[in-house]
Amino acid sequence: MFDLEENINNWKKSLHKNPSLEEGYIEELESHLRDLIENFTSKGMNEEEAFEKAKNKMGEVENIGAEFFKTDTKNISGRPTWKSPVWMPELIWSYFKSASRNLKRNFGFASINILGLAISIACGMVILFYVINELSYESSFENSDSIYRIVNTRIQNDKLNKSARTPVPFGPSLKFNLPEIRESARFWRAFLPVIGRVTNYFDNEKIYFADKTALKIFNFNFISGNPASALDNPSSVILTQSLANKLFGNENPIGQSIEYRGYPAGDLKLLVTAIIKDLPDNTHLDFSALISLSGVNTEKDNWGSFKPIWTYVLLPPKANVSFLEKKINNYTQNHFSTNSSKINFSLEKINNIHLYSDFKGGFKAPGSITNVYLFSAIGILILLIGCANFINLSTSRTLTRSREVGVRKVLGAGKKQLIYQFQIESLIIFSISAVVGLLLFEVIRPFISEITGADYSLNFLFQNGIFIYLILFGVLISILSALYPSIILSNFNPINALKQKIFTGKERNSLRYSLVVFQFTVTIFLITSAVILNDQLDYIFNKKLGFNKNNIVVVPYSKNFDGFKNNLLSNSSISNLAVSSRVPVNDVGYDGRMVSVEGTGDKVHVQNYLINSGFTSTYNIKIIAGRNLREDSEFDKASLLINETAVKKLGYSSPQEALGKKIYWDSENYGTIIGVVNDFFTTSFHEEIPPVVMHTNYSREYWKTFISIKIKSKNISNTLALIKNSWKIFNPDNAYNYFFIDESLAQLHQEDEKFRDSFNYLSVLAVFVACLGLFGLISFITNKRKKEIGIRKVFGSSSISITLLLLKKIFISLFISACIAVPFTYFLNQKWLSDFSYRITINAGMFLISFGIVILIALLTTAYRVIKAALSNPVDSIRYE
Amino acid sequence: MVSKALVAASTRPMILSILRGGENYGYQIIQRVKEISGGKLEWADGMLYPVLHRLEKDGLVTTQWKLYEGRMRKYYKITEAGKKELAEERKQWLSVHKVFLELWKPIPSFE
Repeated sequence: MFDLEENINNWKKSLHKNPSLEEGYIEELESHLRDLIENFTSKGMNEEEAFEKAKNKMGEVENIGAEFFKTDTKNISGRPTWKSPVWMPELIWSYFKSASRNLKRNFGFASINILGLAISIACGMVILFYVINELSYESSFENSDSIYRIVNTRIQNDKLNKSARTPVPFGPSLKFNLPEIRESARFWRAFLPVIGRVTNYFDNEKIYFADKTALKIFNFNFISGNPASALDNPSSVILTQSLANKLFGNENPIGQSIEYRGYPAGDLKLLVTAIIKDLPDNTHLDFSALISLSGVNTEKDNWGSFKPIWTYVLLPPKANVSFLEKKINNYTQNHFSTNSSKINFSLEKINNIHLYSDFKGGFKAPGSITNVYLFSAIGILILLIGCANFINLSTSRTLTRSREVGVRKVLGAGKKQLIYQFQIESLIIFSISAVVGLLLFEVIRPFISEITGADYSLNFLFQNGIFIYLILFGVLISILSALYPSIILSNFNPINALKQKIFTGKERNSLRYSLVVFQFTVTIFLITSAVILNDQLDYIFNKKLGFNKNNIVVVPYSKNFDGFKNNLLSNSSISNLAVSSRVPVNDVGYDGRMVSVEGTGDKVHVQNYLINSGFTSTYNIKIIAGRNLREDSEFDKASLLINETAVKKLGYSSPQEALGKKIYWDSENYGTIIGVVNDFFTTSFHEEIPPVVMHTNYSREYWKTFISIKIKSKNISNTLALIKNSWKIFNPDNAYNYFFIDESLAQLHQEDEKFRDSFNYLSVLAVFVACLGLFGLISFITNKRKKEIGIRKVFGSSSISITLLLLKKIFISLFISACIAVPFTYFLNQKWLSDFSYRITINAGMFLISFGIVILIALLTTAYRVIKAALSNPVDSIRYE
Repeated sequence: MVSKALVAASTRPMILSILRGGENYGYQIIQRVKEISGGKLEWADGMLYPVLHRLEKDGLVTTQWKLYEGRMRKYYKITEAGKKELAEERKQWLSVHKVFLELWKPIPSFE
């Protein structure tokens, strides 16, 4: 039942609270209210409605009070003295002062806080740079939106085989036959190239042959020379600035001649026509010299040979890509008469190559958008851990600061002002952390650049206003992380605060524990992922290669191979030699063929290796059925060795069954299977072992690219010198060059190694920052429970039971974190693993290892505080009560 | 509705004008304004009192508590000074009024 009098009384009480309203004023206002109510009830309202309406009509008590105050005071601002001013800039200086005093007094805590944040910020910066760099690929080319790379997809046995390699005549003929294509250009990677002049030769440069139209598609940054005609002449070469400096020093390189040797083209004399700036890091193109492709004789290369040639086309803006792809496929059908339906060409935007392409073979090892997401996520997680730390450590100081808050409140500080004060303090801590973080970043920058290969200069920050965004973002994070501590602190009742009776209930800790659970969850996720990642990479690195990678040196093909071979084999440190078109560590000399099986007519895509008889023994590849190629002669010209995968793919039930069967290269040419070898990896471990067909054509020279030399392990440098000397005897005019198979294999998985390193480092840092947070929490808890511990000890608790008591909640948090972390760790890692053809299975052991590590870390972090608390003398803690 | 600024500026002269017709109390004053303006002039009722007290402080009105039907009411009565103030205010408002009358005459011009 609504009681009018009671309500009016309550309303009056609210007026009494306002210091401006005196007794007489209130009586007058009450009389007015009653008049209004009477008026409303006479209009038919009930008492409750009338009261509510009248109350509203009277207006806000606060405002009325303020107006009365203005009437009664001579104060110009009209602000009642008991109200704190909204804007007091004078106080900012005092906030700084008290913040710096606080930092000084709690130096240990402040440094933990700042260190944690600084590490988070430095990590965040590194990751930000990485992400920006990854996303900016190809942005240096004007036409990047209309440049496409032609890639092809083969469907074979229901399996997709994607490649960026194109047949040699492909590019020019497309431009000729399809008017929609504005320009087309091919890039052909030179293998084992040597470039130089007089005595100054380099064998480690990335050299490409390119059509002159390449300069119309890509606007390279020319320092000198004419972009329109730089590749017109068959012998012209464009150098990057750094290679030109290495070759010519201060001389003007334009018009000078240099020598080249390598595959394709053999030996060339080249004329420098232009110098371009070094390619930026953020493009998938990668070369230091570009030689005119018109100097290479490509007549023998037909549509069937997919060389390491990449074809790029420039389309008009807004071209209809899918329509054009159809036209390209219609057109190419003529050239793949028997198996046209199985090769499908498509256009790939160059902007997408670096992060999204899964077409194999290209200038550079690609990045991956998954990694970009993954590292962004880790970056955000580390930042969050840092902020969680900050919140934990700041709130854990509340106990010591409650007196200060009490005094400030008693002296008239309002809640808002206290919030401002703590916000400014947090901003100071964040600013110091940001500076320390930037310094840290500067220190680790060279290492990062080495790991990632990208140049992370701080100039980056000042482009596109990134700096402003970063500052805004930092301020936002600072405000958000300080929100909770500042609200908690400013909410203290001053009396309790002064008596230091702040924490009476349990509820205050729930946020702190949630933060710790969050940190543990991330920690478990990162450690488990690191364990799985390292296991997987170890697994593939140690996986049976199918050949022996050790002690094999590869040198370029030598004239008079038999002479070279006999010369070397006469030495006891060399055990075997082989010639081949390919070596199983890269895709130079890659030769994909569609072959048809005798009888069934099934067409299968195989990789073609041209070898001599010594290949299998040099690489220790086992012949599991049939025989090896005969000693180098014409005899085995049409004999084939195939691998186990090829046995399956060609449709034979066993290696034995495959022997004697014919495989057709085309309608007229075939080979007969005489032997089966074990499977061996041909390139990266990411790729499945393909079906391989190996044969020889000993009398011809065209395929002979590599000589693999198996050496005995002792005294390698002498043996290398020996090989070089005898090679020079047979090839006095040519540049010599060598590489080790095992080193190349390691290089092939450099990206994986980089990934492993980055992930491991980031995990360690994240765990470290999380530890700081845990340390803050445990310090807070032991501090807060000091008296409780003292009393427990007085009543006979042992140090051990107190230790357990303190650790109980930590372990509960750990347990909850484990429950949260396991499913999504499993899911995400499963996803990552699915990228590998050969992979480990995730098992419970991996999780147990990481739980073990986390528990150990948690114990180590908390041990000092907990043991100190458990061993403390109860007299010290309860003396003052 | 009349704008807040205008309400604030006109409150004092309005109260004085109403009191010219004899002593009155807060509630009635508000009712009168509402009546005359046809509801176009609205105050939060409580805000009237600080103004009345200010007038009293400035010596423009005098007050007296009276018992009316068992309830105390504070009556306000205009003083000589108040009347003088009102005359002054009136002069000012009329001169403003005059300006507007002149300005708002029909203008001989085409659009």
